[in-house]
Amino acid sequence: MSDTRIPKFVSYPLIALVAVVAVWLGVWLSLQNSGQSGVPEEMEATVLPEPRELEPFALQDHNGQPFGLEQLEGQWSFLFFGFTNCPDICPATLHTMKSVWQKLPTEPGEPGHPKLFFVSVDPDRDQLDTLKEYVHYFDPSFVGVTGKLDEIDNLTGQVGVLYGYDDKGSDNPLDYTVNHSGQVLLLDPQGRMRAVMSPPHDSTTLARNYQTIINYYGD
Amino acid sequence: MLPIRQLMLSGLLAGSLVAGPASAQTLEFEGAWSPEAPPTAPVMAGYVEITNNGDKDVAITAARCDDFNKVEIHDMVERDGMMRMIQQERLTIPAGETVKLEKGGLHLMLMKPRRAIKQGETLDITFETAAGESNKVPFEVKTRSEQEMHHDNHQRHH
Repeated sequence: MSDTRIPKFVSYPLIALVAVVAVWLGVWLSLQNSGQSGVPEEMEATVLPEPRELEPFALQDHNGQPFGLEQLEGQWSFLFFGFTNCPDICPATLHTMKSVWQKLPTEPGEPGHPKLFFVSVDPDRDQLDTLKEYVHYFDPSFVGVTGKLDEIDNLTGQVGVLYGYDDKGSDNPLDYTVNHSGQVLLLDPQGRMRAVMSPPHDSTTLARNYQTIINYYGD
Repeated sequence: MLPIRQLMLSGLLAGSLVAGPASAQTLEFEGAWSPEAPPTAPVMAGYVEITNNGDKDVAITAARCDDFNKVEIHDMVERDGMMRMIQQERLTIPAGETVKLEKGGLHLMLMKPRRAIKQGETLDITFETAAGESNKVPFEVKTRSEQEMHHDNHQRHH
């Protein structure tokens, strides 16, 4: 009776092996055929399975010019949200982004170079000229952005960034702190959200992830 | 655990070399620095490694600096998807251990500078303990790039 079972023991692993090979082949072929789909592997960043289109929003850049979807188009963009009264993560992240710039093959302003937008979620204290001087300290190509709270909420809501105020309403109305998401977001040249990079941020990792993503999806 | 132990040991060693065993301070402050901030920034941070050479826990209850209106000890924590700064009323340095104030974690928050503060300067920051001791610690003002370069060299030499 055991000799009827032996072929089964042999055949199950075989069938399994064939199945595994077939699946791998299928995955490999589908990747070969459509370079734009799926997500690159071996990433410290979270790449969205599908790019996320954004609805229009109306903010201002540090020169008082409109900042909306249009300003995100034409180049890859990094977005980071914070406030200038932030002693630790905001200056550290902007410094990290400056180091990312130094690790990229292109110079700011050149075709193919990304932009960095620092969106202040503290418009009561962060005036446009304050923001400008703040971001320019790190790199003259960085752009400060802020605006009305409902338009900030419009953007943060769409990209999944959270923020909130602590101690607002204490004795000194300007004495409060802002809690905010520490993620750096990456948007493609169509202004669609592509990836989220979580703190702690490291310039080598950010630069490598960025290169991997743009090589994968193209410019 | 190993790097912390090593740091602890090197802290102890440095302490005994500099101060001599007889006058050794209970608290040892190492690598104190403050990143230069953008000119419009109303706050700065301070980073330092604090080692307790004694056999009793020491609580730091206050910090002050003549160049700032207020100095607070904050912890940076990520909670509910947000980075939050939590003020620490007291910072306990356990006996024989080192607590690091560093980027993305515990740090000094130096609020409202009374003057423009530039790279190359030194800020004297005084730490008060619950036992009434005070420790005046010089914090070197450096750019973040400068600190990274220094840190990299430091790593390479070891």
